[in-house]
Amino acid sequence: MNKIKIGLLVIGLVGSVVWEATPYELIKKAEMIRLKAAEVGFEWSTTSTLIAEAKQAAKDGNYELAEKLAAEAIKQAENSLKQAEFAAVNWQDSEPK
Amino acid sequence: MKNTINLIALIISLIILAACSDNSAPVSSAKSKFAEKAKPVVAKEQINYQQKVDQDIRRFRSFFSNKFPNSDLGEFKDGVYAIDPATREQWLEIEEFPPYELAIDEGIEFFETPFTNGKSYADCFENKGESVRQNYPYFDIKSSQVITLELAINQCRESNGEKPLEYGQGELVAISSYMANSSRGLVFDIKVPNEMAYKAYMNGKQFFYSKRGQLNFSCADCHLKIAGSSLRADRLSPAIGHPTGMPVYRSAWGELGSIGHRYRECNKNIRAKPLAYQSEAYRNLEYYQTLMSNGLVVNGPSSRK
Repeated sequence: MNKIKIGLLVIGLVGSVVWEATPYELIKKAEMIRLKAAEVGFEWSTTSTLIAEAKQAAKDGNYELAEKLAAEAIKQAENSLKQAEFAAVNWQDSEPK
Repeated sequence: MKNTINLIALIISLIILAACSDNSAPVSSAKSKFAEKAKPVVAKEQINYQQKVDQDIRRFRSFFSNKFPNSDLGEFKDGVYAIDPATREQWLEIEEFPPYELAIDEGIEFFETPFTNGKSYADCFENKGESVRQNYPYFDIKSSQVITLELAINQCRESNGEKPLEYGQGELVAISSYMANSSRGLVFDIKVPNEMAYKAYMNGKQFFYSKRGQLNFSCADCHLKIAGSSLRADRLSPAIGHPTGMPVYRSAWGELGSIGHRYRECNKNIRAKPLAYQSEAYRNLEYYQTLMSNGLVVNGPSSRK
């Protein structure tokens, strides 16, 4: 029984560490993509706000929220890069002929 | 069996022979086809970049003249008030006691105050800084970049040992407003002197037509395609003439602001992260916009809602 308890404790500790790492990894990924969008001048103003909110949520221990916000930040940062790629190829379509 | 092998060998030989025949097509016919497709290479010095831009200007003007047939070309300097008679009346009343007058007076004072080394702004600009607004922005061949009036003012300060002023609003814009006011009525005639200038122009043009921000708008979406339409309580101004009235006193700001300040605000509105004041992208955009407004007169500073 003691062994079972120790085993469960170990699983819980390891699980909590793994659970904590996930939002931080997502935040890091969001930040990387945000920087790429910034380099090409297409960063959205919403992305950095979401990243800041995700960081705060993680700091407060609300990892579920942090993960959700970071995931949304990744999505927006990726969309801003797609926007940059689209604009580079298609901007002249809007020019009056 | 032997006959079959011989037959197979013969067929293979014929196939190989046929393949070799295709590769030995007459060189002269291949050359002449290439000659037809090849276009003469024009030396870069021979390309008239100004002419290319002038074609763009004509197309741009034509678009707005067709969209707003009741407005003369010269009237577009007044922005949205060129296309909206009702608000134009209210604006003309405001212009009788313009809200930017105090800023011009402050601008004169700042302009005439000598630097610590005894020199002043007048020493940095041709014609002592008067009647020069219509020459900005210009493409500086030496530094290979677009120089706006605000950038030139700060370059003047730094070359005389002074700290640069903040862009966007405040003292620098007051100086810019004085210089604009001294140039009222003079015609914008911005040049595209070489290939690098043309690249800067194209960079600005690309910015103008590129959608950005979470709301996915380009400058062209609001100020070209749907110019004249209502956006909440405002009408969207046509892009032609945007720079002529700068710097602008916007009621929403309660003070004067530069065109760069307006760019940043517009970018914020569409949820794009604004770029830094006087970034290369914004200077190139101002270069493009001012070129599209060539032929219009300086009427800055001005007031807008």
